[in-house]
Amino acid sequence: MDSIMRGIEFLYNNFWKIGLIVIAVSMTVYFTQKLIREAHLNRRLIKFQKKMRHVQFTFKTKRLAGFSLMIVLPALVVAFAFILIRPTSMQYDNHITNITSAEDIFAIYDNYHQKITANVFRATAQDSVGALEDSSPSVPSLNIGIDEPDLVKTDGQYLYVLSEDQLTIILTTEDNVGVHKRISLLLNDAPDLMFYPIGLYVDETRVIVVGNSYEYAYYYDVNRGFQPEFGQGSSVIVRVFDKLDDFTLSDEYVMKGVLSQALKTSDNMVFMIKRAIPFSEGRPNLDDYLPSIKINDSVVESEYKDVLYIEGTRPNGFISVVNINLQQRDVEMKVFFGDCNVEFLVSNEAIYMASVSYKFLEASDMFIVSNPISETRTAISKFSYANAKVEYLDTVMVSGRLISGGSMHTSEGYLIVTTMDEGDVVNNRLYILSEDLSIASTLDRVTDGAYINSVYFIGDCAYLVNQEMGESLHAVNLINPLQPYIEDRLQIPKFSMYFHRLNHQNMIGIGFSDSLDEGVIDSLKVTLYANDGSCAFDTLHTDYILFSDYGYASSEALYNHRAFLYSEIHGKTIFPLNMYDYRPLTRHKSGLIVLEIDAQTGIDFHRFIQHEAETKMYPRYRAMIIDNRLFSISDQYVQVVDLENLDVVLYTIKLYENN
Amino acid sequence: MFKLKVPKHKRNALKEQLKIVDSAVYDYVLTTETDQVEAGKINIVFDEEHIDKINNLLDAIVKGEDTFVSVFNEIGQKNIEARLIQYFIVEADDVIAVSGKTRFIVKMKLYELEEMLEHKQFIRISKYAIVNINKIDYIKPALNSKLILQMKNGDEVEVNRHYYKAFKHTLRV
Repeated sequence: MDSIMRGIEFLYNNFWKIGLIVIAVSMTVYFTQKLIREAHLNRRLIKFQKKMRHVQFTFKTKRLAGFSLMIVLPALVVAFAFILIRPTSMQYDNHITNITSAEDIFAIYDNYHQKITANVFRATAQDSVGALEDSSPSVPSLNIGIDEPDLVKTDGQYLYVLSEDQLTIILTTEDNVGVHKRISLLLNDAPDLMFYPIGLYVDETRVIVVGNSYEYAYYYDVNRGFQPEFGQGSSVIVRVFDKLDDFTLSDEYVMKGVLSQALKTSDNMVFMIKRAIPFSEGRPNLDDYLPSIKINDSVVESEYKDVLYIEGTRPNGFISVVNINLQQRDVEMKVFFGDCNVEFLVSNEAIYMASVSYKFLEASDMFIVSNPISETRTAISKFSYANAKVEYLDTVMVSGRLISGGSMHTSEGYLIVTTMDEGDVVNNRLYILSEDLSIASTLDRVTDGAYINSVYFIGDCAYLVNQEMGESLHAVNLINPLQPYIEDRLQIPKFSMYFHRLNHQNMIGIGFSDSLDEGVIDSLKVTLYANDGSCAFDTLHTDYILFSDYGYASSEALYNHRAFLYSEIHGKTIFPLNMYDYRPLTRHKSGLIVLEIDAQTGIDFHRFIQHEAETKMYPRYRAMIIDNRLFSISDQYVQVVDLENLDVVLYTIKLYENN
Repeated sequence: MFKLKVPKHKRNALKEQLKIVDSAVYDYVLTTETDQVEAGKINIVFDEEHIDKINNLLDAIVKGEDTFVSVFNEIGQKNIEARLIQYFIVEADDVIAVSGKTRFIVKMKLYELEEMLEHKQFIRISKYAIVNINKIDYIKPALNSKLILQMKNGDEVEVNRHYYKAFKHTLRV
């Protein structure tokens, strides 16, 4: 029955093509039969006449030629028609093709979507025709040595706090703590642009603020008047403040698109930016979407000839890897036309870009088939950023799609990638790629068919886990990247979400829990694990943070390692905590929880730090330790306490002049 | 009509030279060996050096077995060899014999001609026509089990579908 339905579906989707082929084949068969029959009859006639010694055969050249033409012509017409309608095929060199014009881009888009969406019965589930805007950067890797942006930074002398519309610079000397400067981040020359900070970087001479701005259009509502409407325009704004000139704004870089990731090395910054193209609105003017960078008052634009396309990737926007030399104010870009759902991994030596790539059936070029995808792959591209230059190196394809954000990791120069094939049996694979992206080793069926939605890389271990089901934690030992092996299948408590390594022996996990009523999330759980250097770990202690019988707790540390602070010297673990309660009244508390964690004594609740004067509804908290003082930062206040005695508040600083 | 009985290594060459088609039913045996003659048949024993004369002899045998048909035209009456007639056709109650580009009236019924010329390679192709198979230049199949016979004089006659099977049988198709 399924085969019959597929046959009907195929005929319906390719009606005129099938019809043309049927007519051509019928004509060819008919005329071939006619020719054979005629030849046979006349051969017999000649034989008969020979018997009677009356042979005078004349070769009917014209008739034979006519027949041959009628036999061949339909096939020629069909072949010609199919060549005409066959989409222009791009030539790929190691999965990459160069684009030369806007027409090439439209050709790639049309070719891709003709395969994916032309089936009137069903479009392939993987496709999302519209562009995808990413409003927040993905959580970057945990590679040590990479300077990551954060909302709070310190250089020992100052504390830098980035909020929505302001950079606050706070002096943090022992005898003087106070606001040194407040710098507004509002875009005064473009009031319709909202600025959303992503993070800041601090080096010896600069403070660099990175954020996205979104363009709002307004529409008129008869009841409410003019209302803002989210538009397509968004930009990455980088502002460089000169420390040596009392934090004066020295440069501003504006790049169209949304920031995916950023990294900084001494005088260089590299940005990975995505810019969606609204193909769903028709044929846009692609010149308006080509990546460009505005450096103060000048503009550097990319050209079509600089754009590359990776075979089989979803064509919905431009992805740029932009290198800015902050000293020289030079920029260079590597631009790809492809999938804005791309993921990046930044290591000490390279940048890796991964996106889903489909391998299509050959027949899907000519016919609409129910499932045109013969294989789902992940395309991994490598860039180097050594010597202040971004250079595209190579692209490789591996089978399956990345499991989730964080599925890539580097170790000793190798790139480790985890993918999943969702065929009849789920196959989770681990690929170890060498520096030249050749596959050095592979581990197949890591989870024996279990579905995985998260991957963690901690040290020399990879952990594949299904967080919702609370199934086994599959640990893969990567001490020798060329010979990875599954070390153990560990049962973890349900709902464990995020792991932080405290030291070589211990790891802490933070997650939701159902401490009171099984199946009902009502608390946050903190678990201390012991680890002997292998990938396996034992549960030492577990504690629950419960607000009330009718509430639940959450923390930014569940998904952002930068919100988690551990000081081995002081024996303190600090992270933000939000607690909610619904009965009898709705209430909440936000602040920082301070724990003392010891392998012997366990998890000890020490203090909950809250800024009582904070008036924002759901304030965001961070912690910073400077010289034996704990700085707790919320949206409106910074409070300084003595680490030895958290009851002693040394300073309370308003971030805004009029809080 | 003829059967060729010669050593195997000479057979194809002699067959080509003498323009012979072997028949299952034959009256004449042609051979280069006296011990190959068959009883009850007309045997012709020959030397290879007399191929041309044998060809003339065979032509005479074929032509000599021909039948004459009495025909009329505006000039008068004459007898012509049946082998020279392309086809007979009925037109407006007259039976017409077509020979080359000339048309003659025949004072016989079509069925009488059919009986008389049955063994002379004439075959009925429709209610109104009889053709000389030896005068067919080309056969063109048409739709609906019909055949168009292009005659050597350029005329075209049609084999009716009711006579199609018999026609094919005659040609051993």
